[in-house]
Amino acid sequence: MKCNILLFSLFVCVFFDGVLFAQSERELLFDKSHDALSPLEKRFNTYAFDLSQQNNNRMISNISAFQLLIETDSAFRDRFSCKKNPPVDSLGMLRIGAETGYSHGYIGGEYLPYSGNEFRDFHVGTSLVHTLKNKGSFWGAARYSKGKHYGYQWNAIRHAEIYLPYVVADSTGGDYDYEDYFFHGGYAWGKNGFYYGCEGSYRGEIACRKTDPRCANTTAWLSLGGSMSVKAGDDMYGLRAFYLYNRQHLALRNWRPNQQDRFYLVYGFGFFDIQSSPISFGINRMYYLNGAAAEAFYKRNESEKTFLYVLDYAFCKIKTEESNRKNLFDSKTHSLTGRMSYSQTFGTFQIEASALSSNTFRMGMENIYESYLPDPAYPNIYDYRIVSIRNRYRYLLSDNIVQCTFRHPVGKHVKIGYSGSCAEQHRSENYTDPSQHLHTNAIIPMLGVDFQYINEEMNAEIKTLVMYRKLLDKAYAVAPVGLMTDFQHAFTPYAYYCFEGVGGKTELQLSRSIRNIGTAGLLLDVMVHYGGRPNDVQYVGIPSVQSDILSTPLPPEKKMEFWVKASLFWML
Amino acid sequence: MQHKCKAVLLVWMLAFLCMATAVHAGVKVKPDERYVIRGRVSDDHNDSGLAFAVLLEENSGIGIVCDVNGNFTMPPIHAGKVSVKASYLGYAGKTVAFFLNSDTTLMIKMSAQSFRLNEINVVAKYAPQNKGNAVIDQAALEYIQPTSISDVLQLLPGNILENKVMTRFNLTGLRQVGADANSSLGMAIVSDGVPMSNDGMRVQLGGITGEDPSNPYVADRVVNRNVSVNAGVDMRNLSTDHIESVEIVRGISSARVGDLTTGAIQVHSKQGESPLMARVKLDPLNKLFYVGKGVKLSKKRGVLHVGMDVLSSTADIREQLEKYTRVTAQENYNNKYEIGDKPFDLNIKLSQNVSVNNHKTDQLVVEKDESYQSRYARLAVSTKGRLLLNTMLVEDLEMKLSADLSRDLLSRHKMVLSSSGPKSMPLSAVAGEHEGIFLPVKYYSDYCIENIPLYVFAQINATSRFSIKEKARNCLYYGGEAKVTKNFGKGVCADPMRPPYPLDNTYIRPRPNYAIPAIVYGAFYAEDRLTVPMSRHSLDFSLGVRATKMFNLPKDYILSHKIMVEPRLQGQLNLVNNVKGDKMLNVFRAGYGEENKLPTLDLLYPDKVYRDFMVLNAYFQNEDLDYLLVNTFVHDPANPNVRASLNKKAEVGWDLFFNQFEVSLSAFYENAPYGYEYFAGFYPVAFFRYMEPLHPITEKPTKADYLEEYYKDFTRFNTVANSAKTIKKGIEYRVLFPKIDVLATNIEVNGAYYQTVYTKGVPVMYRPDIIEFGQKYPYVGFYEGGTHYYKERFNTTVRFNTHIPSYGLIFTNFFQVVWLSNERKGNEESVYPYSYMDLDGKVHPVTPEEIQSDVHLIDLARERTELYYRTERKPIAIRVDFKATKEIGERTRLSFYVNNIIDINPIYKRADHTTGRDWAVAFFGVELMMRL
Repeated sequence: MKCNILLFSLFVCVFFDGVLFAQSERELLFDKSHDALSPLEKRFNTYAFDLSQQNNNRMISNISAFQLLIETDSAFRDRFSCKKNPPVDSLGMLRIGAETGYSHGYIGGEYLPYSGNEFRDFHVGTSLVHTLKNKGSFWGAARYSKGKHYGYQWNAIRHAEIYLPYVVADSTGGDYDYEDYFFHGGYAWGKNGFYYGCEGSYRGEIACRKTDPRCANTTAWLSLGGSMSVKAGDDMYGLRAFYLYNRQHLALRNWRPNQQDRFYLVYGFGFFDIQSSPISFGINRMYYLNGAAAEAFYKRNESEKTFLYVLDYAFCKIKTEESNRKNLFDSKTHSLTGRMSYSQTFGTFQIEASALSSNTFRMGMENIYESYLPDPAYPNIYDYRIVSIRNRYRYLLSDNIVQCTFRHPVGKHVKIGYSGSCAEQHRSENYTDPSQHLHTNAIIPMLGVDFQYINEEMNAEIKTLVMYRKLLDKAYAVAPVGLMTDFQHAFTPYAYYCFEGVGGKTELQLSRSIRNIGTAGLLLDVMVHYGGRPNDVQYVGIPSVQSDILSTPLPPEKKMEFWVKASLFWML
Repeated sequence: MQHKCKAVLLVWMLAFLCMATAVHAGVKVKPDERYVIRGRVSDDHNDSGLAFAVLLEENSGIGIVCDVNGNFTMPPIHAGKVSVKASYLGYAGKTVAFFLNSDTTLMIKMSAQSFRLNEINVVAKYAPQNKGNAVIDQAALEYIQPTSISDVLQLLPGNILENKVMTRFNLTGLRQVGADANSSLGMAIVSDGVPMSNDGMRVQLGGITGEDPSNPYVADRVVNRNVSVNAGVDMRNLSTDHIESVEIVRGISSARVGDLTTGAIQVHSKQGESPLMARVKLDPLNKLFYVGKGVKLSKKRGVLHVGMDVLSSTADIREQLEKYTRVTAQENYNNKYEIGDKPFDLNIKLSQNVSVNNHKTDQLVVEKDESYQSRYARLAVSTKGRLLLNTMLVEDLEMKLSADLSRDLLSRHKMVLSSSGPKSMPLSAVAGEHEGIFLPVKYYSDYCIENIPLYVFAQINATSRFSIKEKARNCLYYGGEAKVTKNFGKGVCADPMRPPYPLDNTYIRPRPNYAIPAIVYGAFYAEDRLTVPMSRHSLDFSLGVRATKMFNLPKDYILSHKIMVEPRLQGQLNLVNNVKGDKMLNVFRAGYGEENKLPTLDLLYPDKVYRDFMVLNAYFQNEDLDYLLVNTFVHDPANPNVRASLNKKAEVGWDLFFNQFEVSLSAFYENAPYGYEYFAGFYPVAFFRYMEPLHPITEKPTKADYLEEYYKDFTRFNTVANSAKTIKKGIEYRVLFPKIDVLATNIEVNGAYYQTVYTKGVPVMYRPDIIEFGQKYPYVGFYEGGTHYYKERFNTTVRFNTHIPSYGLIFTNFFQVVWLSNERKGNEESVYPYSYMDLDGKVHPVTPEEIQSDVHLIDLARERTELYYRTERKPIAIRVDFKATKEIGERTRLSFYVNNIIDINPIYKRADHTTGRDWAVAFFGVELMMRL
């Protein structure tokens, strides 16, 4: 059973990186191929049940490190291959897993309008690791997902958090149907004590709204990378680097004959480019993202102590392109994430201390165009050229977590763990001219307990984490200037992040080993939050841009959000 | 003159045929110069015989089918080097080469197809004996995972990868930049030797008839979905899951295939015994499921292969109305009998094709209370019998008979809303002045379009082989065929009192399809394949001629009296050299051919066009006072002088085969000057009209209440004509490198430079769009030739196929580079007319000087700005695709692909110096295949 737990952990970490890892802004940009399917799933993943395990899985997801462990750590290899006392050179094996699941989530009251308030997602996928003796290991994973996300308002872009604040907004909104395809492949091998890996992953999504104005969004992520690991005594070092490429194409049009609407090209705090925000039958846009990321880890294994440090950095540049080929907006994003874990065993007891700090900084740029005559012989033909660039937008998101865990066995088959955590989240946006600013600073203390039962055939695990979110500081200094969608694009997200209240999540996993079939199991995740924004967080005035949706400021009220996911899995 | 040349050629060909026959009759074939190969084809694992495996001796072209136990006896083959290729569904093809100098027993062991085999081919094959034709076998078909046949064409040099949408008809082209309806119409699809046809489809409806099928802005796009008129077979209806292999003929076709101009796609259906296979393919626009199995009924009852697939497809995921859902099934039966002591191969194939999703809803349809229903069903049955006579005169005799019946019914309940007041609706079916009605501002229109085309085809072929004084070998193919095409449908049914498109009523009085006579044609062909060995080298000739005639046409149609003769000539010099112990083969080839595509039912029998002109329009919003008079002009677009569309092709090429290294270079020229078109012409009209009231109208008006005015004008009518002209020329290249063992990769580079010209082959008419003092311009000019559209493109495609047998993995990195893509309008069109017509219909010859000196005629000069002729040049564009397939265990295969995983499309300056860039949107999908 232990090997199956390890395999499943590896399986989900290759597959659903976001399930176990803190879903920081950096990972949204760097490792998009492992992203969660909905904002509520991302929220579920934000604070880990076991941060130490999460950090360790992050290290193992470096496939050269995995290959190093397979070839040099017999205990690790035994667990992975599910064989007892195998010969040293029995490295040939194929492990394969498949999973299917369904999730449903709902956000009551105010929510982030650019990502919807109700989510139904279905997925099915497979993952395999194929190791051949003296030939390294081949990795592969594939996932197909399909679902519907409801309640998009004032935004026609999918995964808007990557491209914020440069979204295309419409005043009608709608519900998105989507299909998502994810593939991952990699190969790792060792030579002369060094271990190398090369891998690539691709995620493609096509989403649409089937009511006017109808959008078709095609988003694709590609990441290509290489890694290297080496072991020196008790120390293990690893490095990996990735290139990331992302595109999103938006085609937005009214099906109804002769129907025209205004489509807003927003650039922060509700400012929109009036000249380029036409009243028209439709609009098209392309986003291009190019980025790179690097990650390094150091792990030291002493007899009863383990230290792990992981540091990764990502940079990406985004540009927008309109159908007339104007590149109106650019942004540059830096992400830095540090992880640390320490664990020590005292007999049968274990103490772990872990920390995670994830920081994302984004700068936005606006390109100013003028029209000119490219050919004086034809005075009715105009083209455009850039005459100025403005750097006025800034965004910062910082998530920091510390966790301590104490584990001890009860009897032969049971293990119990208790954890205490504290997280701090800071989010701020700034615009220099005219000056606009908002920020929130919150603290989230958490308590958790996990219970695990393992025997030869069966494994049952239940984990629970309860939390309380409290605002330490907040500010909203946004003064409307002319026509702005500040209520929709500045205040409403700010109000969402001013949430204070209680919440909790729990995960139940049951699995059983079946002869000649493998291991089959069930995974159930549930998350609930209840609370609301403080009474002094209210919009003052009347929104200057209004429609039938999200145009009337409402007083604060308590709300509930929930998310539940059920999955079936099988491993061989 | 041309006819004389063809007649002379025909006489010479017939003379040659007679001479060859006479020579053959006089030639003594020494029995010991030909030997028999017999043996068995079996599975290499369990030694079970592979029922009805297909064997082909590649040098002579002799092919046979094994019996139910895998045993075979080939007809006698000439002594010398032979290469016997065995193929069977689900197994990797095997070729055995040896020197035949006695009767031989050959045991062929075949391996089940798997990516764990060291040799697996996932690209198109170009064998020396195929004269540049591409063969895509089963392994390659499974690897590229096509959704329709047109996906297969992307393997050919020069073809550009693009995402085809299944919800609208896609034009098919070969060796050209862009696409046109005539080239698509001229593409023959031949399924197991039986040509498929769409020539019986007929839709005479405003906004459809005469329109370019690729134009998305038609009057009713939902009609456009399932209508593919005058543009060839709708390839969406052909499921590739029932296909074992595809051969694509780009250059000169064999004389055995007719009624084509562009090329031929020869499809070979799955047959034989095979395990149960299931396939699921998913991508954002298409969902496909297939299941199929081949069953040995018994040793005496033969083998039956059955398969079924379901495809649901949409062009745009936002579109609810325009979905294409297809269910196809195929049953393919094979057995072997003996008639006397002669083996007889029998094949019977049944195909069904049904479209479901009869009711479609959409936000707007529901809002407007509209409905849309489409039903499509097709049943085709074909039977083929081949008798191996093995006599001195005739080696084998083959007969084919097929019938293909489909029903396409489209029903629409549509809301018609006029934002500019009530529209007028004339009701007359004859020319002249008649009263009409005013339509309501808002009403519902119900119409349907029904087509029930039936195609019946029969063919008989014979093969004779003989030698000429033991110095040359002949293989003579000859035979005849007949085909009948008849449409039993009602055609367009619409209520003239509630027309669907009140702005265009030209086709509102349709003639039912069942009233149209059937198209009948017959053809004879003869083709001699001559091989002249010259020690190590050899010279091959393929000299063919085909004669076709149409029947059952009206006597005034020139096609009813015409026999179309098509020479198909190809020669090939094969030079074999020894280079360091390895064989190097150089092939030099050249060919010339003429191919004719016969007109379709829609082109031969178009409906009359009714053009209505307002005479008196008095609308008072009072039924007692309203009065509408129109003058109807009737035009018959039928053209009794329409001739077959002809394509003259010439090609030269060079191929090199050395170990695993292959190079191919081909240069071609094609001239098709008589393509079909609904050609627009101006016709003068004149009638009295009453537009200005003489006094206030207080009661139902009459003509006396208005000022009488004699009105003259021109109107445009389309007439079927051979006016479309297409010229194609280019160079294609292909290099296949040997496998790089270190990388486990082989590389194929192919590409082409194409230059295509689209223009008119007849004089054109033009009327300046000028209104002076309320009057339209009173003259129409006649000009020599229309605008020439030049398109050229140079592209290279590089495929890196990496095959790792130990992991059962194949992946392909595909780079497509378009080095240049240019378009321009040529300045060959004449600026000045050679004559002009006035409103009385009189035609006056005129010179450019007269045009320049006459202020009333100067506007007839079609002077264009320099910008009009500028070349639109696009910069280099690169596209990268990726595909990977992994075998999991022995029964499962998982694949995924991404098109446009990366693309490089730089910003460029258009011809008018504005900024442009082509966007490339990614497309992706996954497939799961299981064998049970």
